Amino acid sequence: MPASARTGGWRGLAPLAAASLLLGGVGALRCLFQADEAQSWFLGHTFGSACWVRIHFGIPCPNCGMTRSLILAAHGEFARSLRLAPGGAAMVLATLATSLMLAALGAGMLWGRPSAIRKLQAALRVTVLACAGLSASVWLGGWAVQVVHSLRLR
Amino acid sequence: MFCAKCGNSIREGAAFCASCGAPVAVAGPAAPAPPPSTPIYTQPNPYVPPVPQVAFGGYASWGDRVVGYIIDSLFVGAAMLVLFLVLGSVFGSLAALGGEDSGAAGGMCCMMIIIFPFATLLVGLYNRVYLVSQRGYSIGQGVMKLKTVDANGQLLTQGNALIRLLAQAALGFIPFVGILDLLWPLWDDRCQTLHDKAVGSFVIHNPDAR
Repeated sequence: MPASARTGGWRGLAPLAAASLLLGGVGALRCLFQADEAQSWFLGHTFGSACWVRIHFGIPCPNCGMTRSLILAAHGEFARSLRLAPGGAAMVLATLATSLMLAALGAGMLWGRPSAIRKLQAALRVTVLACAGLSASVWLGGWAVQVVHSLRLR
Repeated sequence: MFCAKCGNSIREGAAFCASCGAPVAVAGPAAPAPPPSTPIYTQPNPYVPPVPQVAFGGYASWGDRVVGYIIDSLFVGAAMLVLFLVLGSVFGSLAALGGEDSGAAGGMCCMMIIIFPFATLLVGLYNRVYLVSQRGYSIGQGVMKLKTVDANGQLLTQGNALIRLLAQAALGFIPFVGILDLLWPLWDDRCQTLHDKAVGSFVIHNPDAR
């Protein structure tokens, strides 16, 4: 039996811990950070949002707006997040989906049968690969749109 | 025909000697000669790669790997802090000399994008390439009594250790995929990360550390 498909004991705690860490990260973004389209704040203190690449080269870098987009998505404002940088919204959604699947896997490893665990692991592999492909595509696609938009404004 | 024991004559076809009763050895047809010895060809066993789990007592748990990774990341963080202070001072001074007071924060933001991979590679070349290829474990893995080996249970070559580091750095640059790389052992049959799969490495409990 594969090592990762064993049941019982503390093994199921690892996926649950990973799910907690991911959800905790999204929760921290929601509780500690705030953002609008122009800037972001950490516990009420603003930090720089001007991009050195954008200032000097006139085009955005791949991560331009990602911080603000992530914070807005963590606050549930997906429409504003998508307009700012689609990759942020996709990343938050992918993280939430993965957290739920990890929680299910953890519960299965604690109380389920090995066959059920293997099915959960297979479903998890498909889900996370789909999430990774989707978020990476949206991230790069959003950046490409921003670059084209910046070049047209010149 | 004569008896082999007493020497008296024996009637043809008799089973025993009529004089002493000794059994008569019947000269039957010659036993068939054994077939010439021919080499026996057997199907060679299919190649089964050695499994480190069997040889060394098990793959490292995800929790142990994460703690080791966090310890290694502390060194990357320290290098980032030093680089941030040095480069920040240089660029801040240049901006002040040039009369620029805007964009400094943005410069810092973008510098983090440059500093992070640079610090990861700088520390990683020693910690994740040199140490792993020489003794089998990084500083964090040493604390957690883990070891990185290939499919034969041998230490990684420097080339493979470098590819493994670069694969992790490249995956970490893509949003969400970097997280996925670290989570992958949770549902992988061989408890490998994606950068482990890139070079066929395994992280196991270090048998020498027990």
